[in-house]
Amino acid sequence: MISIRNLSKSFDGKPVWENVNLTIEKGETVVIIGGSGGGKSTLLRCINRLVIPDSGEIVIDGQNILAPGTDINAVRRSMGMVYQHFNLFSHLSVLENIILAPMKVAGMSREDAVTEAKQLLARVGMSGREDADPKDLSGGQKQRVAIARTLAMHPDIILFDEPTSALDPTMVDEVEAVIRSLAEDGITGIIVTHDLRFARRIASRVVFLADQGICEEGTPEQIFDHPAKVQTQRFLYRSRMYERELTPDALDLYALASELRAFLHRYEFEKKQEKLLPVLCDELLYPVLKHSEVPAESACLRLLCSETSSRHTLMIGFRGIESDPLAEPYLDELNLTLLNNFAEFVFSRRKDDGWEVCIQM
Amino acid sequence: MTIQKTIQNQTLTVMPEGRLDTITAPQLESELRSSLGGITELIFDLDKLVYISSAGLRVLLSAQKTMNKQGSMVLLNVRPEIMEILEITGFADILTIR
Repeated sequence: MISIRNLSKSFDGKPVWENVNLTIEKGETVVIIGGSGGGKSTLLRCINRLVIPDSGEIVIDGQNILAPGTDINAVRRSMGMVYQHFNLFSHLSVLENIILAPMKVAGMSREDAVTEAKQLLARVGMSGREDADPKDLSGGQKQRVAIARTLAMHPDIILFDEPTSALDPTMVDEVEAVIRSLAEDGITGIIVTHDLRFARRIASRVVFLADQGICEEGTPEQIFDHPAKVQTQRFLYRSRMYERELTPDALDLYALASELRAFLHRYEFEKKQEKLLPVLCDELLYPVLKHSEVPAESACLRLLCSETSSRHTLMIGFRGIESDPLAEPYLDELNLTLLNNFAEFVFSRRKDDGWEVCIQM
Repeated sequence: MTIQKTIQNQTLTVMPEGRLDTITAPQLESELRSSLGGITELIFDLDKLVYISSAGLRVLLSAQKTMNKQGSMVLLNVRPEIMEILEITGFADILTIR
């Protein structure tokens, strides 16, 4: 069990968080979420004392690891850490990466270390890749090797710092499956991530950091579906929304389409939705914002993504136009045919300062 | 987008590469305007075209209208993603695709 009591940390006199209290039971998978600069990684790094807090206690299995005289190397041996960028030794093979610490630190024989490393590689689905060079592996494979390397020291606790952030969306699943299997073996996992889809699926408990402390904690269902605090609601809403101001003069459709695509890729999506993005640019945004006689003054584009399904919504508020953007003189049959084909449905409505177009993707 | 053109006798082959969209369609339009004189067969080789918007379709339609008066026009090597657009918009019925 890990018990964090009244923990405070500041950098240059500015508090990161104050009086944090958190208890983590053996075998739990606790995911820490929160905005950038909210101190998620700092909190994680305090747990293995890579960062020293200003005050408070961290008690692990009855021992305050912040107390003077603590054998921090012994504490760290029971704790693994997995990083965003894998941190594999690039000059060593996959196998050598895994057996290094058991031989050097735990004093294991090479033969035993190799036997165990092979079992660990099988466990993370990397059998047969013992001799591979880390640079020849995909991101997902590197991360699985990094997890196997951590497991070689038989940790009770593993700290994960953004383990999926450097991975393509397609590789998140394989790493997620491995992390899930650790919890089933009773290893305590503490994960910092900004990937809320991953957080929702992997967590047994979610901790939301905001306003210099733990703002709210609960099961994924409580936090993601029924957040009690306004700050949590606001954070979840913002992290699901891509928002851009567009003006006719500074319209870069290629950049916009690629940003929208990158945002969509953080969520579940269908091929047709990806195809809609350039169509949106060519068949709606350009004709309205670049109309030769009555262009919109500006537009606010919002892409709202769902955490739980692939039903996402686009909302485009066009300012300074008098007539419906989904009709002449802005759009003709051809524009509408293409738009309607790639969207689930499209409608427009009048607003105080112009017109809004809503597109269900 | 890059556009390759080859003229053999009165046959012009145009090979646009990349995306034929709002931004790039005017480029193709001006290329065609300056090269269709005296051409009786216009071939669009679309092997390297990956996306087409309404603006691109309009250029093809305008070229078809010109060629109706002076010869014929055909689209070759149409990729599935472009074919999808041609079918949705009914252009597959108007244009000759081989």
